[in-house]
Amino acid sequence: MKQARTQRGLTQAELATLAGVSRKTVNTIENQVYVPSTALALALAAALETTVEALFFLIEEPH
Amino acid sequence: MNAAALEGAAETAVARYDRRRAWYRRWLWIIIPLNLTITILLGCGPALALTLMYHGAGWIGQPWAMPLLLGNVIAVMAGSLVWSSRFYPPKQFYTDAVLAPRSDNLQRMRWRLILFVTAMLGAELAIMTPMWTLFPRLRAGSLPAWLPWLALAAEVLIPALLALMLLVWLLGGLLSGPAALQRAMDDELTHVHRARAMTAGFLVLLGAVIILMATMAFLPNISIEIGLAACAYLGLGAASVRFALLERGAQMAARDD
Repeated sequence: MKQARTQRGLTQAELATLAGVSRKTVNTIENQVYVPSTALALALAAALETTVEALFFLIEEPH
Repeated sequence: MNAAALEGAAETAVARYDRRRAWYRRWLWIIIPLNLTITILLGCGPALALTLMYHGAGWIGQPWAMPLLLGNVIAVMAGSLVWSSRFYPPKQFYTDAVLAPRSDNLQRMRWRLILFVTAMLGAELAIMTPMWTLFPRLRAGSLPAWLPWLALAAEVLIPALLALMLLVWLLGGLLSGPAALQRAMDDELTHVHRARAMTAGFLVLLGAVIILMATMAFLPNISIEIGLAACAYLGLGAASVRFALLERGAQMAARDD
């Protein structure tokens, strides 16, 4: 998500305002501390003009 | 219309805010103590008057006593908030560049305030427990008339106000102000932290009740009042501390970026 944000030239604070959350929330999502809800993922994707799948994906753990 | 009124009508909202802020900063040294004094007098004045009328603490048993005591303080605080809203910046002032750092600062302040208020509540309980245990006569009204009033203030008003402050901060921390700031203070991550904190508080409360029941089997003389207050504080304290630590952790992660 950080990559998509920087490509758009947005700061965390600007993205947070667009998505209606705090900068802290954006930061914890970018640092993989917090996994957002579907509604917030959709709001972030809309703010970054991309899709949810492009921002969030499952990482397969090695067995 | 005179010249001053014409000038006032022509003043923009931002200019009016700047003028009010300058006035507020100039008289801050007198506004804050005056506000506190008025709050204390209006909040506790009726309690003092009633105590003087009845010369004892018996009136506190009346059904209207608690709503009157707490209602007074809350009404005065609400009035103070409404008055101080004159010094809030106008909508034109709230750009993203202003709101984002303000939201960060308020969230940093929030978890510190929550820990401080929780510690104050703990200190209150620690002071009151020996009073209830060692000086039961204090509650019988056999001491000077002013003493029950002080004890009442310490027992009821202070914990109630501290708990109210905790509630406000746990529910976002902003009762007024721009909608964008309120949303940022009570966003999805805050909801998640609050839910986790409530779970922790509930579990600790259950554990405390179990321990209290077990203790009462061996120590039947233990006061129900102390036991209930301790259980309530442990549950509330656990929830508050958990919330503050979760918020602090998220803030620390954000600072690293």
